[in-house]
Amino acid sequence: MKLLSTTHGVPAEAGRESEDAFRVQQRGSRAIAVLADGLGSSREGGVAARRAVDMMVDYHRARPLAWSIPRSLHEFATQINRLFHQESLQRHGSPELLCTLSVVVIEGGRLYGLNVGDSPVYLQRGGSLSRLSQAHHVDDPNMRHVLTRAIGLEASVEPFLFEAEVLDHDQILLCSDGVSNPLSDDTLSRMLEGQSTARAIVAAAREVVVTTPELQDDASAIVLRVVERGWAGDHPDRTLEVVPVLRLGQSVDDYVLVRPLQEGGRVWLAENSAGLRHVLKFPPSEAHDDEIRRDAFIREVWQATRVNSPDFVRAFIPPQESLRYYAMDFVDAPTLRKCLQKGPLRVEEAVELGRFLLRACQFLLTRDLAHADLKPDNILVVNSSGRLRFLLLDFGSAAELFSVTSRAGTPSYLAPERFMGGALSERTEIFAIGVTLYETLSQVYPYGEIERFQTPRFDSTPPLLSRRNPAVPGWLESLVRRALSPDPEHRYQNFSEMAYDLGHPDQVAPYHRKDAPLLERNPLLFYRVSTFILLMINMLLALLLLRK
Amino acid sequence: MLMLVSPMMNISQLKKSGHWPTLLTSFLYFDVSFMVWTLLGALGSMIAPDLGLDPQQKFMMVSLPILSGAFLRIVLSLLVDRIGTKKTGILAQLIVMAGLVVAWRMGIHSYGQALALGLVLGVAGASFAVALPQSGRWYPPHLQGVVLGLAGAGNIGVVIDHLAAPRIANLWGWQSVFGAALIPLVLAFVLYVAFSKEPPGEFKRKKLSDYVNLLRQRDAHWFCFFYTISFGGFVGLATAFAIYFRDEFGLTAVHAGEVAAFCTLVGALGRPMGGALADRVGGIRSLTIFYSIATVSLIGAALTHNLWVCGGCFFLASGAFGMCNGSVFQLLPQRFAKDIAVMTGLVGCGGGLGGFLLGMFFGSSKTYTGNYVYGILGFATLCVVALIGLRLVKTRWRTTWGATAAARI
Repeated sequence: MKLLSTTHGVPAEAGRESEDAFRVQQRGSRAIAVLADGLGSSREGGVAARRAVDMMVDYHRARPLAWSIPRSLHEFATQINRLFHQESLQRHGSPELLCTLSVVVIEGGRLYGLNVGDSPVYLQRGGSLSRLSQAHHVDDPNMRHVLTRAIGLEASVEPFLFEAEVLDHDQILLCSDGVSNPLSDDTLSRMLEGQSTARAIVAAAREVVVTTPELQDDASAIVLRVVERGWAGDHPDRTLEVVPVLRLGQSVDDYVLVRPLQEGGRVWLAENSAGLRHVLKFPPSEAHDDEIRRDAFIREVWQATRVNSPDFVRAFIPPQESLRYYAMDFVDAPTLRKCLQKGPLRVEEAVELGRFLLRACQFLLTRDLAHADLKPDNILVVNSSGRLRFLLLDFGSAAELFSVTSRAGTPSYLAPERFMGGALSERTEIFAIGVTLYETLSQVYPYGEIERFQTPRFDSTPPLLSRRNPAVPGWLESLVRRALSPDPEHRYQNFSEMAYDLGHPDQVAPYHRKDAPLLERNPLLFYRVSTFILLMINMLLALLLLRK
Repeated sequence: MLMLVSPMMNISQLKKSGHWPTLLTSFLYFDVSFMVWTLLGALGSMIAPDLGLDPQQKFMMVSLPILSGAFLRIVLSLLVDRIGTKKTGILAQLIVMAGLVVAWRMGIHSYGQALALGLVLGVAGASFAVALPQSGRWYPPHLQGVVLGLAGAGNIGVVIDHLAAPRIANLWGWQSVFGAALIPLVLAFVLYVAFSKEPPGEFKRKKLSDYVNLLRQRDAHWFCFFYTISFGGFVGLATAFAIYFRDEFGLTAVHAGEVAAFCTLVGALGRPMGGALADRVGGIRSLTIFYSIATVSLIGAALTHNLWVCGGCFFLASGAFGMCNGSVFQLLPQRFAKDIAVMTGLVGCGGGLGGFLLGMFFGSSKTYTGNYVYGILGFATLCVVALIGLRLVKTRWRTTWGATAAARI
């Protein structure tokens, strides 16, 4: 397919920043065009627009191939919406991250699109212009600037989805209302027919605005011109089989299964024809006829393969994949759980582990993700010439922050609020890091082992680390205990806050539980006050003695 | 999200939603059915001498209703999905009443006739498969726990048996007990026919293949086994107590019944406590505790020969088994969320099988060794197997949970 694209955008007033954002990305015969218009009335409209466009393009690049394009567009849009809404409520107390969103994907000779809000998408074909998108604003002509749907406005959003066949010489226009309001459909149609670029269309809109200043707004446009549609190709949707039983020595594509790595036989060590060893992970056999589980696995593959950092075991989809599974690099290193069976880590190693976990979590946070199953079993310990290096494993539970309110995860590492329907958050991840560090230093769980399906109580205080491991310094004890506080308000609130403490031992404030006695919280004050009281009593007694 | 709601609040919610006459009448039906299900157990020690039964036959007679009830449950639950709950309920009650009328008027004169009555009484034991879906389907999911809890109260029926049956038998002879049992049965039947209603809506028909599919999972095996031991232990002991105390300590039928009633009561009341404890400390942990207590007290009961010590041990064992029942049912709906209807049937079947097994252990032991020691120790061994099973399930749950966690809930 041969496709030409032009883009252009200008702010409403020169010198001010535009609240529109747009991006086009073309790879081979696939293209995606995204345009978002930040809501002027909100505090962070421009930020929302730019983030939404980038997220959409990034998500789409790594989209799970098992999902159809409309399905994945829908999934991504609702996810961005949920994220903006939750984040804004937490930061501002009201939805401020607001923008419209229009997306067009051209793939395999078809056009798939989605829109939320009033940034229109037009298709120009054979001299006539048709609007593919839906306008989500109030019908009253005087109230057209009021949107009924926008990204970030409500906890959930129902995006409008559209689809069309693509023909040679079709033109697709995405623009903000700064373009579509001043220019009539006829004008737009004429301009597209005359092969106008996005720059020319935006310029025309600016000219109209000069005479009607009330229409002044940020203006941006994307024009996609299909020069030659070419071979349409087959539908890219793949339905890969879930194999119920896997056996030793079985060959899967280029691989031969060498050894199962987990009970249940769904994670295997495998060797390919080039002699390279990889770990293959297959969906649970129930996924064969259970769509929810199949979906969960597809999501896991998506999360795992789009994370690319030296702190994580690399995951990828083998190019010749013919069954449902994904591959990971095989790292021949024991898990932290195995290491702990031999004895606790040294203090400096535990500190390094803490730094590693916080770094990895912060990295995921930039992708709006949380690992959601941090525990020694999911951490590999690589011993490179005496120094320990760590790697994080298993994206089976990874999810967007706030998206999980169930008890999914490993019970002993779940924060207390997660048992009461609380959402996955930075603070719940910090609790899991706390449990992991506690275990690393003492080999026991701080609150005892918690079983699946149990509703535990957290009213006992974990025993002092230094009692089990005298090498643990006071500041590290305070740090771990603060991460382990049953009350999320008393925990570290952010990864960065905890990371700072980990890097500045001299500045760690001693941690005490809420009901700790004064003697424990502030011994100096206790002794000062009690000495003072004793002195007073003595003086009083002396006075009485003298009186006699 | 899991919320902790006080039972009172749930009861008031129960009244507002659903259809309470159905709830009430179907549970009345279930409770009296449970009562007649174990009737032969309470009367066993009096029937046996009249028919000249050996211990093996005696325990066969009292355990057969439990076995047939176990399998008829699955039959009835398949029938419920095909002809409706109310029709199935009426049919089942008519069969039981007919059986009791025949036993009462014509009398039981041979071992064969006693077994035939036992088979028919199994239909009463299967009432669980009718009453529970009929009332449960009227209510929203968050009230299902309360509905299930009310069902557990049916276990009290066994206690009534032990107290009333020997006394009635003393006055008018044991044949008349069948007639007396007809009174509550007929009452419950009339109320059931008049007031209960078919639950609204369409329900997925269970197929025999659903049961087979579920049995492919290893956890399903173990849960069936856990309930085989716990419910089997509870109901098996409940039916065996009367005969055991009479044989071993020469008590009168009324006294033996009282001791049996006392031991059984703690098991029935222990059920909700077991559920609550499993939620607090974890199901595996609480089951481990209860099975250990049961094992130790069964061994104690087998090796001592003093009414008080032995009775105390059985009291403990029965209570532990009752609490096990509650713990199993705390885990079950969470572990087998969408298959819970089928799984309840399977597990119940296992429970019945366990009760039968315990009766057979007692009977064979007495017949071949002259005392009950080996039978009781045999069942204690099964408890140890259950403890091993718990370890296996625990390790599996620890390692394979991640990928499917979000999908399951």
